[in-house]
Amino acid sequence: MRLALGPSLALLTACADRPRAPRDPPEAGLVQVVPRTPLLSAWPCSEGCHARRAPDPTRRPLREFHAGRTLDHGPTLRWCDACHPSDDLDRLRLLGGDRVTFDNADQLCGQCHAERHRDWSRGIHGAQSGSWAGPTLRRNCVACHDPHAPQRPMFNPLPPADHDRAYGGGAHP
Amino acid sequence: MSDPEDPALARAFERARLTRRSFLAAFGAAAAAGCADRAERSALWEAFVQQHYKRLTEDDKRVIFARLEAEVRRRHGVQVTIADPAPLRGVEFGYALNLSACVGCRRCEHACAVENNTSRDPTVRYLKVLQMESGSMDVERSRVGYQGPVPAAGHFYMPVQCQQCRDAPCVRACPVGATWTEPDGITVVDYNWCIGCRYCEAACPYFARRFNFSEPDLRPSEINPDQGYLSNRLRPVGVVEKCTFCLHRVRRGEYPACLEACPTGARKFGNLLDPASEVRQVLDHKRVYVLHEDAGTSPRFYYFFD
Ligand code: HEC
Ligand code: HEC
Ligand code: HEC
Repeated sequence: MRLALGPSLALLTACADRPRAPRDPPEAGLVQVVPRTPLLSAWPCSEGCHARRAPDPTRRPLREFHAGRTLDHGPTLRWCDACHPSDDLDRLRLLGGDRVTFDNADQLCGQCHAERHRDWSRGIHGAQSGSWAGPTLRRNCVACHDPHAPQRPMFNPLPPADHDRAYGGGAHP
Repeated sequence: MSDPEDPALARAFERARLTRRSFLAAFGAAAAAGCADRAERSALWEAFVQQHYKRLTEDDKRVIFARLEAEVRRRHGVQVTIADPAPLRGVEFGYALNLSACVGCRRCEHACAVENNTSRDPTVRYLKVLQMESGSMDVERSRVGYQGPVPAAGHFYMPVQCQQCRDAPCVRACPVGATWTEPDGITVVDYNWCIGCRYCEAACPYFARRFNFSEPDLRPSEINPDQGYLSNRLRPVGVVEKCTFCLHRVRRGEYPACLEACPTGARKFGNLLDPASEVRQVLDHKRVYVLHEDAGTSPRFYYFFD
C-alpha cells in the first residue's frame, strides 16, 4: 500500500527499479530561416504600386505613400535606395551592389553588424522555434528589428501573480 | 536526511495517515453504496495501492494512465492524453538565458502556466521574473511585482525557474525518494508518491519548488490535454511540483513552452552533449554564470550577458 509503505526506505531499496528503454533522439536536422516574403502584404513591390509609380529618390518626409515611415538607422543609410534599389524593388541591395531576396535580409544586416550576424548563425542571437533537434526554425533579423528604425521597443508586461503583486518588493515567495 | 523527530516530517506523515483514513472512509462509502459506482471505487483503490513510478511496468503504466485520464474526464469533462516519453539516448538537456535580451515581459511565465496546468487560483507559477538593479547580481534586492512598461531604465530582468542541478539538494532532501534526476538531467516528482513534507522546497536555493496548498483550480477550457505523467498532468492537492523543462515536449524534440513564448530570443535550449546545439554554442562562445554558484548545486541552467 502506497501510503503505508512509501516511507519505508528498506522496501524502497529492496525493490529493483524497472529499466526503461531509452529512445534514440530524432535525426539531427537542419536549420531553416523563416521566409519573410509571405508576410509582406505588398510584395512583390514592382507588380503592385510600383508598376504604376516609380520610387522618388529625394529624401523627404513621406506623406502620400508609406506615410509616417521614418528612416532612422545610422548615418550612412540615408534613403530608401540604399537597400531598395529603384530598378529592382523586389530584392534588397547589399552595400557592394549585389542583390538578395527579402528572405535573405540577414545578409544585408550582417554587412554592418557582423558580430551579431555570426552569433545569429550560431543560434545564440535571435530566436528559434520548431525542434531543438531539428528542423529548427530561425527567425530573420527583421522579425525583431524594424530595418527602418531599429531602436529597441518597449513591452507591456503580462500581469504578475497576485501574491507577487501583494508582496511587491521581495523576490522570494 | 530524514529525521523521524522532525515536526514537519511528522506532520507530513500524519497528513498521509489522514489521507489514508479519508481514503478508507471514501472507499467504505463507495462500497456501502453497493456497486453503483464500481468504477469510482476501483479507481480509488488503484490510486491508493499504486507503486512508485520507477517500479511500474509498461502494462502498469497503461492501466494507470487510463485511470488518470478517466478521472479527468469524470471530474472536469475534458479528454486528456497522458504519456510518458522515455529519456533520449545521448541527450542531456541544458538551458541558457541571455540577460541582455530579456525585457521582463513575463510571456514565459504565463506560457509556462498554460502549458503545465498550474493552478490559476491560488496562482502557482513555476518561473518568476526578477527585476534586478543594473550592475548587481544581488537577488535579495530584486522585485517580482513590477508593472510596465519594460525594460525600465536602470534594471535588467532575470527569470528564475528550476535549474535542473547536477547535484540537486531537493533530491537529497526527499525522505521517500519521490523526486529524482532522470538520465537526461531533468529532476522530476512522482506526484503519487510525494508525501508533501516540503523538505525539497526548503532545500532548493532557487525557490523553484511549489506546494499545492489547495486543490489546483483550472477551468476545463484552461486544461492543456497534452500531458506527461512526470510533468504537466493535473496534480493532486498536497504535493510539490516544479519546472521540468516541459519534459513531455522536449523529449519529443520540441522546445520548452517558455522558450517558444519569448519575443526577444533570450532563451536557448538544447542537448549539452551536442556541440552544435544552441545551448552549447552559448557555453562555447559566451561567458556564462550560474546562479548561487556557492551552493555547489552545479545547475544545468546558465545565464549570460551579450
Ligand atoms: C537598411 C536597409 C533599408 C532601408 C534604408 C529601407 N528599407 Fe525598407 N525594408 C528593408 C528590409 C530588410 C525590408 C523587409 C522587412 C521585412 O521582412 O519585414 C524592408 C521592407 C520595406 C517595406 C515592406 C514591408 C513593410 O514594412 O511594409 C516597405 C514598404 C519599405 N521597406 C519601404 C521603405 C521605404 C519607403 C524606405 C525609405 C524611407 C525604406 N524602406 C528604406 C530594408 C530597408
Ligand atoms: C550600412 C550599415 C548598416 C546596415 C546594412 C544595417 N545597419 Fe543596423 N545600424 C547601423 C548603424 C551605424 C547603427 C547605429 C545607429 C545609431 O546608433 O544611431 C545601427 C543600429 C542598429 C540597431 C540598434 C538600434 C538601437 O538604437 O538600439 C539594430 C537593432 C540594427 N541596426 C539592426 C539592423 C538590421 C536588422 C539590419 C538589416 C535589415 C541592419 N541593422 C542593417 C548600420 C547598419
Ligand atoms: C528574436 C528576435 C531577434 C532576432 C531574430 C534578431 N535580434 Fe538582434 N536583438 C534582439 C534583442 C532583444 C536585442 C537587444 C538585446 C541584446 O543586445 O542582445 C538585439 C540587439 C541587436 C543589436 C544591438 C542593438 C544595440 O542596442 O546595440 C543589433 C545590431 C542586432 N540585434 C542585430 C541583429 C541582426 C543583424 C540580426 C539577424 C542576423 C538580429 N539582430 C536578429 C532581438 C533579435
